[in-house]
Amino acid sequence: MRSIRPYQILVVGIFAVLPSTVWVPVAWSEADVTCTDAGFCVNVAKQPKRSSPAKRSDANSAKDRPDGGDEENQKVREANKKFSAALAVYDRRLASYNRCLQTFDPSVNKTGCGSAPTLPDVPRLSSATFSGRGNQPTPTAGQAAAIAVARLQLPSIPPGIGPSPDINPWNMAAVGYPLWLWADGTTNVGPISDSVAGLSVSLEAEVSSLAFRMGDGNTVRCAGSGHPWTAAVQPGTKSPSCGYSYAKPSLPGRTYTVTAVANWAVTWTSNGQSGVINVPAVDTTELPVGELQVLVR
Amino acid sequence: MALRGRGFVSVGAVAACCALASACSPDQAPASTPSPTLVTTTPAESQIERQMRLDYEAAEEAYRANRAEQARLYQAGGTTKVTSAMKATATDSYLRITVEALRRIKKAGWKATGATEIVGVVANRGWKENEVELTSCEDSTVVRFLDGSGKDVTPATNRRYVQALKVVKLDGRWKVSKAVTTKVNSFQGQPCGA
Repeated sequence: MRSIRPYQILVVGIFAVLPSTVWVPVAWSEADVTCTDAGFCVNVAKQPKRSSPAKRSDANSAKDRPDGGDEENQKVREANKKFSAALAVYDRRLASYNRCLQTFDPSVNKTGCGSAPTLPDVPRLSSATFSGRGNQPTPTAGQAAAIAVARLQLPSIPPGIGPSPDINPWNMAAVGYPLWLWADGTTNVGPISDSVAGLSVSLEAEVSSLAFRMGDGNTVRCAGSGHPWTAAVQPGTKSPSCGYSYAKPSLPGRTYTVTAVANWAVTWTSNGQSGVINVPAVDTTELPVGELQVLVR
Repeated sequence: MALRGRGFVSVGAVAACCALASACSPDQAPASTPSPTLVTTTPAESQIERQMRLDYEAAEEAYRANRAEQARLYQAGGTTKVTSAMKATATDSYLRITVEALRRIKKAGWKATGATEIVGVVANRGWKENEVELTSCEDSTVVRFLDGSGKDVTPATNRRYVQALKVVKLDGRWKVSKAVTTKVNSFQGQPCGA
């Protein structure tokens, strides 16, 4: 399973100079560089592992060495750098998105994320950056998987809440009444295949966890996707897996914004490697909650 | 609709159960009073989640152990040999580069004071069996270097790094395999930042 590629270290001149000048900052800001405590930086360039497609054959030649090669190979390396940089930007934005969702509750904390966060755009291999002969990057299997997963555009999971307020005369849920919560949508996707820069990627996704921000400051975490409420459920029965009872009404005048934050665990396989990428999805619904009274004589 | 007043008692959903859930007819007897339930449940950790958590923890532990060993060796004036602690926690390009840096220190006759501060370590997106990626914020500005005469020869270069680390499991041990460094002026806004 593990795939460690051989790496070639380019020690670019730095070892050949005097100690007093060894520590001058290097100017390889766009390359993969490892820096150590004393500011000593070394360029680490990959020898890409090539596996298949013919369209990648030019980059597959023995001349495709990080420390040399012809102009064409130089272009490939530059394309790879640009691609890695674009993917790094995407990764940072995705990490920011994920962090935001950890606390995102539109009804309670509007300052953390502002409005509902959106997934960042995927780096486009077809963009002008990567067009033209020799400009196509040769992503690793992991990079290709990241792109394929992002392209997948997994659906959000609408929060399922039952019994629905629509089926009672007051069109509201009631304080103290056990509500059932579940993922009201597809919770499995795939297997699906995609091709990224000549690499085939197989994907299979499932919702691995689900959390409901109930809009009153509380969060319900469900181990699975919850059990849907049906009309056959006896009144007052609690959900066997995922439920909630409001302690306070939202009415009059307000509704609770219930937010479902789901995690899609996407298992990918490409080029003999595999892994899991977690992709969150968020969706909301409005729920009026009121108190019911009975007359005691 | 809080209709509180004389003669009215809020009893939650006693009589309203039937009306709230369409399953019951108007003649049906009220269900027993449901008590408000506690809200938050803890999800069971799945096998894969547990495996991922343990792997990330072990990888971070290896990385921190490696950095501690590096700090010790820098303070000792570098080394020309790969110590067992280094070999146990690093491999591939990361081991070669860090050892080469220590060899240079030894050759130049320098010693370090202080140790690089690891501001934070976070797990990166994605997980593979026997390979994980971490991002670490390292602040080496507190590390000073002195030459043989005691003169401060600390390099003026920016030594605040965001390290994208690849950590691999070899023969049952997690080892830092590769680091890709980005120099930053501040760790603010970085995923591994404080």
